[in-house]
This record gives sequence, C-alpha cells and structure tokens, in this order.
Amino acid sequence: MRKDTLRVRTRGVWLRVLVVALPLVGMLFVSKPAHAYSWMIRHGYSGCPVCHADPSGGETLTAYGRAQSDLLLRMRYDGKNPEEAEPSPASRFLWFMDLPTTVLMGGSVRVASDYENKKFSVFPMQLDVYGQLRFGNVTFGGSLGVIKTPPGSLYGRTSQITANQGEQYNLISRTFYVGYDISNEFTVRAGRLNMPFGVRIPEHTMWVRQSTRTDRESGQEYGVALAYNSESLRGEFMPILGNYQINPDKFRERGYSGYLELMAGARAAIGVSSFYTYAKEDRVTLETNIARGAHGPFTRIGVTDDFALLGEADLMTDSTRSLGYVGFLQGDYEFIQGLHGMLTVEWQDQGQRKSEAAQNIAAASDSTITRVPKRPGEGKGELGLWVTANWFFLPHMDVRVDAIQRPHDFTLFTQLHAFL
Amino acid sequence: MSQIRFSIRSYVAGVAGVLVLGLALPAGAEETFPAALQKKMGTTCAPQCTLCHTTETGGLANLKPNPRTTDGYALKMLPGGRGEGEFLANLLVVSKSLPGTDAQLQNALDILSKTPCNSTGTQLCDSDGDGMIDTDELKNDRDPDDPHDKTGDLCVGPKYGCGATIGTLPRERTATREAAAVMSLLGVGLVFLRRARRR
Repeated sequence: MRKDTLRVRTRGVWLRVLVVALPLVGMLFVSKPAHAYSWMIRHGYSGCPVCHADPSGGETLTAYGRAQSDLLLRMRYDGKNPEEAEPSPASRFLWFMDLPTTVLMGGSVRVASDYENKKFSVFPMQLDVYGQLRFGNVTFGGSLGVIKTPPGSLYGRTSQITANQGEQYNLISRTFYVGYDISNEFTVRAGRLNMPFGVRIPEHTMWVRQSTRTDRESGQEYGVALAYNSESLRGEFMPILGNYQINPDKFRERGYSGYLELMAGARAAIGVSSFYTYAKEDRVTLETNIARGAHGPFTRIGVTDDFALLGEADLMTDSTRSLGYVGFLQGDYEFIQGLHGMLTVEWQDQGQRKSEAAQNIAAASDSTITRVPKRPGEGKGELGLWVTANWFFLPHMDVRVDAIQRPHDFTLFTQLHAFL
Repeated sequence: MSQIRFSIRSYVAGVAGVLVLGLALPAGAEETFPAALQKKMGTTCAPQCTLCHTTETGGLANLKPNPRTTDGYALKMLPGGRGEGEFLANLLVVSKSLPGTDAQLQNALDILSKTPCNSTGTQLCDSDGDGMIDTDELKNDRDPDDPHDKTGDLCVGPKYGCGATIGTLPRERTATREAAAVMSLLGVGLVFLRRARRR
C-alpha cells in the first residue's frame, strides 16, 4: 500500500516537472531566431564580439555594432525595413566622426532623475568615454570617466583613479586592458575587466547584479581573462587578482569568475556562471575573513521577433551568512522598432547573518537575550517588480523610465542616455 | 518628404528635451548623516554608523543609549569635560535636540564645538577624556569615544582611488550645472546629427 502511494506521488512529481520543463525545452529549441543588450539575441545575435570590443559584451561598439544599432535598435521614421535600409551617417562616433578601422571609440552619457521616498533628485549618472586600439592581434582598450558621488555612496568608488573620498569630482576608469586574439575563437585579456558572470544587463541596481557585485557600474576586478566565442558556445573565465583601486590590500577580493553559455536553438541560449572570492575584510560590511560566491544558470531566449526573455537564478554563498539566493526574469516586448516595454520580476534572500542566527539560538535558552527576526532579503525572501519603458528615439539616444517596487520602497527612475 | 521626416525628428527631440528639462527643475539631493558629518568636520571618510548607533545599519531605533542611564554613570562623578561620557549623548544634550536633517546635524556639531559640556563648567566636550575635545577628534579622524585611539582610527573602511588627487571644487547644492552641461553636449550632438543628415 505504501509502495503504491509512493509510486503515485513519484509519478505526480515527475508529471509536474514535465509540465514545467517541457514548455521551456520547447521554447529553447522551437523558438524563432531571438539582442549587450542581451535581448539582441532575438535578432539572432547570440555572440557579443561581432558588435562589441568586449568578448562578453557591453560598452565599446565595433563598426558593425554601430551600424546594427542604427538599423535594429532605434526607432525608424522613414518607413523602411532594417533589411533594406542603410546605416545613417549619424551612427558614427559622436554622430559625425569617421575613425580608422583600427580604432574604436564610444562613450556613455546618462542624466537620471529619481523619485524615491517622496524625494526627487536629478543627477548626472554616467559620463564615460571608452575605446580600443588594435595592432594586428593585439588590442589596448579601456574607459575614462568622471563621477561625483556623495560620501558613503559606493557607486563608482571602486573605479576611482583619483583619491577624493568625499563629494568631489573623481576621475574613474572602469576597465582597461591589453588583449591578444589567439585565434578566431580565443581571446585573452589582462587588466581591469568586467566580471564574466551571468546575464550582462545594464540595470546595475537589479539585485542579481548588485547583491553579487557583478554589475558593470562598479563590479570590475583586475585579472586575466580567457574568452571563447564560437557559433554554438561562448564563455569567459577570469582568475581575479583583486581591485587595486581599493586600499589597503585587506579589502581586495581574490578568486575566480566565469560563465559558459550554449546556444540551444537559433535564438536561445542557456548557460551557467560561477564566482568565488575571498577577502581579509569586506569593504562594505567590514566583516573579517569573508568568502563570497554565487553560482547558477541563466538563459536568453528570443521567443518571437518581438519578444525576448532573460533569466538568471543564482545561489549565493557568504561565509558570514546562511545560504542565499538571487535571480530575475525579464520579458522584453518591442511594440514597434525602438520602443520597448519590459516587465521584470526579481527575487533574493542574501541569507541571515550567522551572528544573528547564533544570537537567536542563545535567546532560546536565555530570556535576557533579544531575538533578531529574519528580515526580507536577510533570512527571508523578498520580491521586486520593475515596469520599464525604453525608447530609442534617435541614433544612439534613448530615454528610459523604470517604476521599481520593492518591499517598503517605490522608485520612479528616469534616464536620458546617449551612447556616443 | 525629407522635410516631414525632419519635423518628426525635431518634434521627438523637442519632446525629449522638454521632458528632461522639466524633470530637472526641482533638483536637490538628500544626503546621509555620515556624509553630512564628513562635510562639516572634514574627516577623510564618511564615518561608520556605529559612531552614533549600536549597529552598522544605523536607524533611529538603534541610537547608542546614554551611558548615564544604562551603566550607572550617574553614580560616578565624571570630570566636567566628559559630560554624559559619550559623544552622541553629549551632542544631544548640548544641542538640546535630536537632529532630523543634515543641516540640523551640522548645526548641532557647530554648537558642540562652541558650547561648554557642563552647564556649570567651561570645558568643551571631551567624551572619552583623552584630552582632545570631540570636534577636534573628528577633525583628526579619531573616535571621540575611544581614549586610546590615534589619528585615522575613525576611518576604518577602505579608501578608494590610486592615490592621485585633483583639486576640490566648490560644492554644488544641486546637479543643475551638470545637467545643463550634459544637455549642452547632447545639443551639440543633435546639431552634428542634423548636419550629417543634410550631407
């Protein structure tokens, strides 16, 4: 009798797994060809180097990438299909400048407004120029920018070249490197690089990037990275040597970071990523002997010509906390070319602090000790919802509005972005 | 036809410009107390929340308690300059208020630097009794509650940058100037765009 019950239960579990897994597998293999903008995958661009200098995507565009952004990204007002249109002269650097083929230049200017807790502010969010110089198989690249952030804010600090610690202007460099193309598939770079991890999205405050510190705003590290890019497989692995723009040495994290992504269809990709670092002292929490890591799968699917799905789910390990998790699922629908609506669900629990868990154990037997309740995001799961509209209204210019609802916190974030 | 296209583009650019300029009008940023303290006292870092709070996350519920009420300090006769025996408690007693804004905190620090710690005495507050008054301790990156500290101990967190420095610029109260600069840059871009189109 018990065996029969067990068999029925097992069958039930398998049925549920199949009900969830089959549509996903179906989408992976049956989906139409699906754009770093990671959602470019819906146009059949699975790999990044064809459009970006960075083999894992983001920042500096190649000449081809500039042309494609003009054809596929922005709103068109001439009624032509991207297939029959020519890239406009405005797709050039600074909208007008022709560059030698060995030189790639770009930049990013963002002005943002933020409405949070009934307070409104406007601030320059980003002012970066970046580029790459090529001599045969050897490349030199990097970025230079300016920031001014309030004391105490962590944004941009880790990229500082100048050492003002207060609210002064600082010169920053998020990335700089020397690279060598070993073959068509393999590239090795050494310097200060974006962490090869997860889906490379521009939303640096999304929990999946912020909690793991793998965002492109301030998550770069010094290291040597080997990247592989082929038709069906891409990946990058980087031993992390520490961030030498943070002092003293005890705050530098060392370890590894990497990902591997397989094309599972013409416009679908699935991958895994992992990082693990150790520091003598954590630069944010000031906890000592801290080992952090995150490990998990991610996917990018171009479901239709207009709709793309991005997702990532990571387990987070932290030597001072219990096991945590973080992830997101984002649907991007392009209503008409250049106008996107996005809906994103994010979730996380960074894990309860071990010191608090120990205090709770002690409180069980000692009534004079106060129990520390689990809080959303710290021992308890929390959910966030992003509703986004993004309008690429001119060549290399877009305006984006994000309504972000998180527990006890609503933010309306607007940004005007020019990528030079 | 090209004229029609240009008008649509102008309209789109105009709407975007008006949108951004309109949003930019009420500019102003609220800063945290550590930042406000750093600015007022000129410390080289924004101090940790534990200067005034019992936890690193801060918050009204976690203010350090007055030692006189919790540790029986009332029974002890502290030297006049030590006041309540703790920086936060002395700040609150001397300024006679709990600051709610950056400006109020900075005003309270101003009062602390000029007002005798004890209504019957003349000495300024030296909470830890190490011979240096609290506000001077902060100016020297020292912890006003630690009698055994040395210069720099207040800033236990990381320092950012490669060591190079650039001059301190006058503080802007809003981001209006930056926003105007960026808008000008974008305007230049649009002019070039228009010229490129005409070519």
